Amino acid sequence: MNPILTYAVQVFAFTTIFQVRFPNYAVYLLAGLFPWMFIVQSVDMCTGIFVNSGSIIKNIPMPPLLLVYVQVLDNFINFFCAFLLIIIYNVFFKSLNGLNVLYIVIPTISLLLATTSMSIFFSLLNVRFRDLKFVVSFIFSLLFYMTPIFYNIAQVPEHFRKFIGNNPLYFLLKPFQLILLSDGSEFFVKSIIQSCVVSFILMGFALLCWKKMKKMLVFYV
Amino acid sequence: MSDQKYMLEVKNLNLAFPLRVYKVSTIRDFFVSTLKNPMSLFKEQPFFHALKDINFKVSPGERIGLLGVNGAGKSTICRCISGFYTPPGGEIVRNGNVRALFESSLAMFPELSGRENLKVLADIFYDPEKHDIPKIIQESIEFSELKGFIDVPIKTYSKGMLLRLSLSLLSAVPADILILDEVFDGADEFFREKLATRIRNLIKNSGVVIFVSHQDHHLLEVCNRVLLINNGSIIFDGSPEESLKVYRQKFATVSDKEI
Repeated sequence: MNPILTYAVQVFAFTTIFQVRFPNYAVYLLAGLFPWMFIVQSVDMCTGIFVNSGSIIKNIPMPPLLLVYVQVLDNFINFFCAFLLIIIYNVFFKSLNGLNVLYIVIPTISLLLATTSMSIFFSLLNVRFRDLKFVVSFIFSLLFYMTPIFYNIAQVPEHFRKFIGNNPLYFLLKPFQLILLSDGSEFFVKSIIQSCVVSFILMGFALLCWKKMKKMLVFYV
Repeated sequence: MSDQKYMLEVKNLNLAFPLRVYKVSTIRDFFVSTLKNPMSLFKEQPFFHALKDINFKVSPGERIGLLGVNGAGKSTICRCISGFYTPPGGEIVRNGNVRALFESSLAMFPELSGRENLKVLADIFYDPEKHDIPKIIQESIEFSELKGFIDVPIKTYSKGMLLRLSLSLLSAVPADILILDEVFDGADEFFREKLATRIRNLIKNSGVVIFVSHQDHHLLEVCNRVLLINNGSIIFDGSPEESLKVYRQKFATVSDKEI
């Protein structure tokens, strides 16, 4: 319910109170907000997961990364169900192109892998710095305003556009926005590739951190 | 090359932790310590040596006791043998399956009921091809005497109830190498007596036993060899009676000097 309620409040706030006017704003907001909430909630819940599950890691012979996978997957199911509900509504009652929705599969997998990687990275770093949660939460609230989610990249002044447009998190959300709002595949193929590249880089980084930390993790939790 | 006549061989086991990780555990601490002494970032960090050149071999039938004051390294040795810790230095050869029961084996999933926790833990600890898991779970439920509480989320359990649940499951089946780390502590006296009988049975049917306790009578009853551990090293290896004598002499002397 949380993503749906947040979405409803934001749609009301931006379309009715702030009178934001661009076509299909509700669909645009949905395309950015839901994946964003999935990333933020997963990273937030996973950051402290190794430290809070110290007794499990020290006493139960199971791979510690399983704790991160389960948490991310739990959030993913929430995200997926809420996203699906809103998409179905928009396909039937607003003029959303149902065929385009099929293209979402690849960015969704990419989003899942990238979120898992970020969750692994922050959960490992939190073992070393126990107050990281506050920093992560601050960074993500800052990034929310620096990522075109409730505003469009075209509205950003020219000299900031390059900076905002190259935000790696934006690369993960962009395919969702383009796929749900455009009519032809030529607009979003590039964004799908960008999303996959970001996801692979994050995966590589998380894997490196895991390789470096895995033997010592159990001593520090 | 491992020698098959031994069930367990611990060779040159060394374990050291960088002390900075424990002293500087937050970003704030890190900034403060770096501002106070910027050169500390480039200096070699001091290490705490938890285990130093631990060597011992265990033949089938041996019941090894680990004796030492708090923080000596007994549980660390047990965790290395059970595979939870992967020490960067040394080698551990295990010729059989290992099951470890730690005093803090309360690592369970709070939102799940006692029965659900048993199912999860049984799947992790027991091999479904070798063991009848539903039978082990049922037997553990009966042994724990938790009755109606077994279907209640374990976040409502007391520490003693959690201990009953985990120990009932983990002590259900013998193992080739059985590690018991202060398992008799924590439960109420009635359950402790019942558990003691079950553990004795478990010890009798397991290949070798590594046993940690501060109670003389438990060490004398269970063990036929005791290693005295101090500051991460083995300082004496002998019969339970001799080891207890050395332990008393060494640490009584330290206390007297301190007084």
